[in-house]
Amino acid sequence: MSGNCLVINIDRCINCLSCEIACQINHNISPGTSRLQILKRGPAEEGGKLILDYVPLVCLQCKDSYCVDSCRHNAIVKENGYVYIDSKACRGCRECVYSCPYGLIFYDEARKKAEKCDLCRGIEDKRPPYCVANCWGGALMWVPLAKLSETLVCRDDGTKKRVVYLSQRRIINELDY
Amino acid sequence: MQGEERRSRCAICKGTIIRTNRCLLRGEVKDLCPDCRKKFFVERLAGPLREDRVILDRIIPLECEEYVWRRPEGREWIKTTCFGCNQGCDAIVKVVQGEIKEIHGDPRLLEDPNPIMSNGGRLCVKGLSEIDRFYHKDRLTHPLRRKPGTERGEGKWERLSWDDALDIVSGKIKEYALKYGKESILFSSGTNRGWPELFDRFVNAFGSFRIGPGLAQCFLPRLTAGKITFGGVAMECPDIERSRTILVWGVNPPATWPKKARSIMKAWARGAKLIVVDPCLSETASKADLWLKIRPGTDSALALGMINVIIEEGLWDKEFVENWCVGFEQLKARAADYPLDKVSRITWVPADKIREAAIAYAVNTPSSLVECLAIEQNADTISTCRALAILIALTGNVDRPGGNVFPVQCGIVKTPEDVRLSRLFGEEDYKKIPGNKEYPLLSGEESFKYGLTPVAHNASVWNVLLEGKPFKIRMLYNQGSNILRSQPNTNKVRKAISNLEFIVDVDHFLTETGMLADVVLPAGTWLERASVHQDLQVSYNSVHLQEKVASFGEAWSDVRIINELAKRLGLSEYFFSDEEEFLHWKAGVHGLSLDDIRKNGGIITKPMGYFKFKKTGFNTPSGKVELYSRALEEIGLDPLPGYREPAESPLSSPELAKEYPYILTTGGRSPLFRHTELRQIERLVKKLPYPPAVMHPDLAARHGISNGDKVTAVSLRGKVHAVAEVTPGIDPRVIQIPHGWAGEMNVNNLTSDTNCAPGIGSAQLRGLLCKLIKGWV
Repeated sequence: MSGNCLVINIDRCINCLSCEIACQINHNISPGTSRLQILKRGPAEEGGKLILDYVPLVCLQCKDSYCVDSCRHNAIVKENGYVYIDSKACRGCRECVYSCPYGLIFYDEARKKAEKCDLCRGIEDKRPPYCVANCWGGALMWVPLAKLSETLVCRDDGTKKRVVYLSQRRIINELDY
Repeated sequence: MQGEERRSRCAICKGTIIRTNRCLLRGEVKDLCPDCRKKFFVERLAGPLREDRVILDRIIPLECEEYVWRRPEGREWIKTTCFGCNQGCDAIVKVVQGEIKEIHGDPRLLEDPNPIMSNGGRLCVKGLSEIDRFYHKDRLTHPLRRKPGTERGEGKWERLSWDDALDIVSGKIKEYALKYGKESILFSSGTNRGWPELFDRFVNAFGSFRIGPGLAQCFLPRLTAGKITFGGVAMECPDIERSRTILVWGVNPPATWPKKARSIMKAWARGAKLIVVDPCLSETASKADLWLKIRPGTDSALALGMINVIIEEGLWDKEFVENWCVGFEQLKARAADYPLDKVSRITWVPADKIREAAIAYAVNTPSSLVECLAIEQNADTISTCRALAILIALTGNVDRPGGNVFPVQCGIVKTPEDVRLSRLFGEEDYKKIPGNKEYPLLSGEESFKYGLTPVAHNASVWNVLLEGKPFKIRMLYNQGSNILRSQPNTNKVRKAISNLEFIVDVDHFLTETGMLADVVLPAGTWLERASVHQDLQVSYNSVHLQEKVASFGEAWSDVRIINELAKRLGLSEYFFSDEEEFLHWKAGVHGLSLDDIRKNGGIITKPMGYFKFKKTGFNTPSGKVELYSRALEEIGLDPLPGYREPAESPLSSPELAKEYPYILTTGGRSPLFRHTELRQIERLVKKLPYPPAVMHPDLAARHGISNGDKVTAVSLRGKVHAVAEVTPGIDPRVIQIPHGWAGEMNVNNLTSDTNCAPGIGSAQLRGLLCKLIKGWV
């Protein structure tokens, strides 16, 4: 698998919401829905200090994609490491929304379509995904897989992740996805 | 996996899940709803805090931080400059057959990169959603006149042609000027981003005065304090990316200055120490190494406390102070009045934190100071801004890499006297300006020396309108400002405005102010305007071209409206035949030709220089940094910074505080909106439909309020409806409600326009008193 990987440094997210709005506008998603979401964690006291994190959440492009299995209309496709929803085939049954273990498939009520991040598949040669292109804090980075160490992007079975989380002030727990 | 349909309850929020599969995280089986699954994922992902933050440059190569994509080529892509806010990001717009298809940041990096002021292909929420505003169904498409015979505010309009509309407006202006004198017409503009010089030029050429509704509360105090202290505007230009300590004071750049936010985060990621002064745990404060949770309105006491620590502990830059400052001994004596325990009592910031911040700022240099308008909305704004300017000077962080620098004015060859025509001001003209005696730095002759051109003091204008003394104001020409929402003490402003005989409003939409107007003119957004910019908020050292991209209905750009109106008023000698001529003139202001700028892709950059004062000295009477200002003394103001308690506070008005026990601050901007703008855009309004009233859990519990409950805040002036945002990131005695919402939800119903700051007349918007009621009453 060649190409790039989305590296998310959660500490650099400044909740400016540019990623969310850029995604919404450029993918023609209805107001109120987006393919990514910034989740606020805290503020809570940790180590004698109030800590508040902003965590940008996007589809992790899982190795074993429950959403792909869940779709009765074969509208969710896995290709070159990107998992995307074929909007024409999607009937809006929401099966995938409930299948995602991370809750990262969204539902566009107005258009009656499921929406999820597919890392803007295909535009990476010319430019990064819209969220990365408009990220001010530097939380979202579009990094060639070749430039990243194996330990960062390789799963146990040797396949490569498309989305990696990092933090400068926290230890990040490696989760299987 | 497929089709396993059943009902169950979410293990966290207890809500019903209609269909579910099992959530598999690390083998743990849990039934969760999609929202709780996100939270659960984040909880599992974010492990314990490290002792120190690690630097990632070995994991992620530095160049990956800046993934530069190629600027698309082709005639359909037009380079312009976004004016969704004041910072003017380079933008590219795809236009096909007159229709806007896409808006993006210009990905080209500046040739001689001044990274702080280059947006590198990004736009923020405001710029990105401009396409929504441009094609909004409610936009004004043609000039309107209130139907003859109908009442004000009834909302019955008839369509006018531009010729008729301008004839009516210019006719009224001429009529009032002839009958009652030019002072009977009040000119008003808002942030006028991208065309401030032109509006000043128009008003000055006509020979009247204007209100700049925001100026005394934003920008003018820090500009004036900077000029008094340094003879320049160093405070405005922090060289963030080269700093080792960054002191962010009264501003949350992620919401209001994305360019600066980006620089702060780049420096932060490399290990720079971040100190944030904010009453609320903002996005910036959440990243801080040291957060000073200040009582709103006490900024100058905190700054003086820090100055005192720096002097007492001998940490000031001796060489710089010796060679380049005057008045150190007087400052030392003044600072001694602000010992740590006293400052801590005033500001509610623990003494050890103040000391730690002062020492870090003075020792871990170079240090930059990032500030914005929170320091300009308290009881003594000149003192506050001067105290911060002095902090920069005392530590030698003036015009050095990583400090606060003087912008390189890109070959500006014309002075404000020529551009804004302030030279046309006569001595008699000043005397008429409301506020001229009390606020010389805003409305008097003094304003020339330090500011830009005299503007009337808002509250004094409302008083003139209400009392009809010493003269009568009969007409309002209001361009690009919704004064019925953005002005302090809305109820009073509404009364004052209703005394006017004739109102003209120029805007994109029909606003509250427009509803009261007699004639409404449709203005274009920044996509419909052409200009050339070199403004210190846009860039420290480059000139940026803004091309006209498209047009909507019969809307005209603000430039064209002013230009055509001026010509009808017989001011042709100062104005232009068309917008193209204006564009050439604007390029000429910078000594450049339009063709050269266009050939260069719309951006021309000059190298950034440092230590410029070593050659030229400082542009002050003494040629040095004036810690003690004789000029201020001469106009009866404090020559040294001091602290004034807010007019409403538990200390200065204890009786009032019994009834109104909480301290109200109207700060806390959202990245979604710009003041009262963009409130029509569905995708933004949906994200924040109501103003949040930020409060501590203890305060909320006292009133039985939970997160998301409807609440009403009440002050002496009025009430506001908001929605509680309960968070431990604020003092239990403080409530923060941002401005910009309409009607009952407008926090300016609460704010005060009295007890304005000495010399410059800033309204106190941080540090008022209010009480809280559960529910919307």
